[in-house]
Amino acid sequence: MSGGTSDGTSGVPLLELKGLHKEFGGGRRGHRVAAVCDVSLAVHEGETLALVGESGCGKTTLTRLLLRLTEPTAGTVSYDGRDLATLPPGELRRMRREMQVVLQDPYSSMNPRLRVADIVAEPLVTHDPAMRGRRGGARARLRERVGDLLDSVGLDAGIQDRYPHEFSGGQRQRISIARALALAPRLVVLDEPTSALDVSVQASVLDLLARLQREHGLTYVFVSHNLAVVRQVADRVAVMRAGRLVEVGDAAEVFRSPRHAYTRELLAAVPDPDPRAARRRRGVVAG
Amino acid sequence: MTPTPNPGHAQTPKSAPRAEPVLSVEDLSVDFRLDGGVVHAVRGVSWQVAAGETLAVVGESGSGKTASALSVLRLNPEPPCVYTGGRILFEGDDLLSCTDKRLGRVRGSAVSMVFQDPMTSLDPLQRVGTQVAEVLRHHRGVSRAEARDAAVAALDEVGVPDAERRYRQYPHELSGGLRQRVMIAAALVGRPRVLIADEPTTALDVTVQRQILDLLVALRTRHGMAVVLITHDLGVVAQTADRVAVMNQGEIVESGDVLDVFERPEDPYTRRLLAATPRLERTA
Repeated sequence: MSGGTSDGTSGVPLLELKGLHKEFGGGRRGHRVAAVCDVSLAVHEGETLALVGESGCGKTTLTRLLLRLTEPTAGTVSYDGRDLATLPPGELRRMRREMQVVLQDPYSSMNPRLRVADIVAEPLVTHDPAMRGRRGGARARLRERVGDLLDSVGLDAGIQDRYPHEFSGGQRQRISIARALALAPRLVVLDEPTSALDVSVQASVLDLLARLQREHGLTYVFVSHNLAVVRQVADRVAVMRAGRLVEVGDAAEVFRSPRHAYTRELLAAVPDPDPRAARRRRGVVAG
Repeated sequence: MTPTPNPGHAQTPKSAPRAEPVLSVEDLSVDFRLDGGVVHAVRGVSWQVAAGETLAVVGESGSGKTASALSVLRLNPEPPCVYTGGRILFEGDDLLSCTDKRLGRVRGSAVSMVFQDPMTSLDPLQRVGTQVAEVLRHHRGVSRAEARDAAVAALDEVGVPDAERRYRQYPHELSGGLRQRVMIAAALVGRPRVLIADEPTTALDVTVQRQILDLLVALRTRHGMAVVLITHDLGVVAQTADRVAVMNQGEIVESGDVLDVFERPEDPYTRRLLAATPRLERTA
């Protein structure tokens, strides 16, 4: 794919996928399904790359591959110029800190029995020795850090002792974002982060993500089926269909003049909130 | 369809359908009496819909849009639901106070519903065709053969390819889009006067959503049905509806012709909702 040609960014991409291939199945029945086929893609530091496609197109498998939560059948994933497959375990662990993920459903992606403080602190406790231990110093440092994180996503630092069920979908998604930011990552994979939210809540979460990106120079891989949302957030767009990338390019350009027929079909299908245009179109459809 | 000048603040003509309504919801109030207290889910809601017209009831989660739509056929679970006030007028009867027998005749034939998730509304153990035919067997008492032919015809009409073969398949053998077409066939086979569709495309991919919305518009036009579309998506409203009622916290905050409401929203909540809806065409 021509992902790297349109942006003209110099230097090593933060994330680079080369010839990625992933097949599932092939047991006794011998029926193999290729979920991801020959995907090459570069993501540059500080940009938002949107990965767009319909259900079953392989976008979730691709994000699992790039986080190395799934082993590819073939191809490589490089982070900061280094092939993740060849990294020794300690190095991989260090790099994992820099790659975080926010999932679609804020209801199922956090343990209902943990308090907000423990949910947000979990990555800190796991990865940062200074935050571990029962001694007062570590506890106080942890609490202060969690408070700062909650504050940065627009939540009250005083909610630390409450449980997830006490919060709305939008607030929970803010808690997920605070957890993802805990280790000061460079790359955040956002997998349909606003699909489960009401539109007014979606707008505020998108604003928050934009602010955090500016403040921390974050790189986003934004997975979405909603092209209107993608239009709003993406610098570049990769359109995926049946495991393959059919079009990669500058977002403004892809939306203005889509090259691939499937991209055009997707764009035409978006229900735009413009009744006048809809009535014109329907007049044509009805003859 | 040129925009008519907005006649000041005359609320009644603006929110009324163009023709005689087939279904009128008048001052409906619905409570949910839960352990923790009473939720006033619907608070004095009124709307009407005429034959051949699509009314969209739009709102965010918890706005009361689904509770008000389910009230039409008294489908809210009782308890905890209590209908505390208002009337629902259809063919001269108040559906909130009519006999269960009368309501049973209205359900599924004169007024039918399509829900969001076709996988949970279809019986996984029955062939899809049988489930469409069942509507006629149950409501019209027609013969097995007649019901079967009508069901195949209905599947064909809603664009299920190779309807004879699909008739014999089970829900899990169909894609989400095809399942939703089956649900629409089951809703239409009794030739209803009113179709209530509750988030009919929310679980579908955009390209499939487009096909289903176009199908609903075409069927409404062909059969002169009244369609009530419940949705959270102003894009879907713009694409399909003639009139819109915007709900917030159990009340209708604004209603009227879709063009008027989208281009000259009067209520602050409607304005906020429109502003928050992402658009493809940005004025950059």
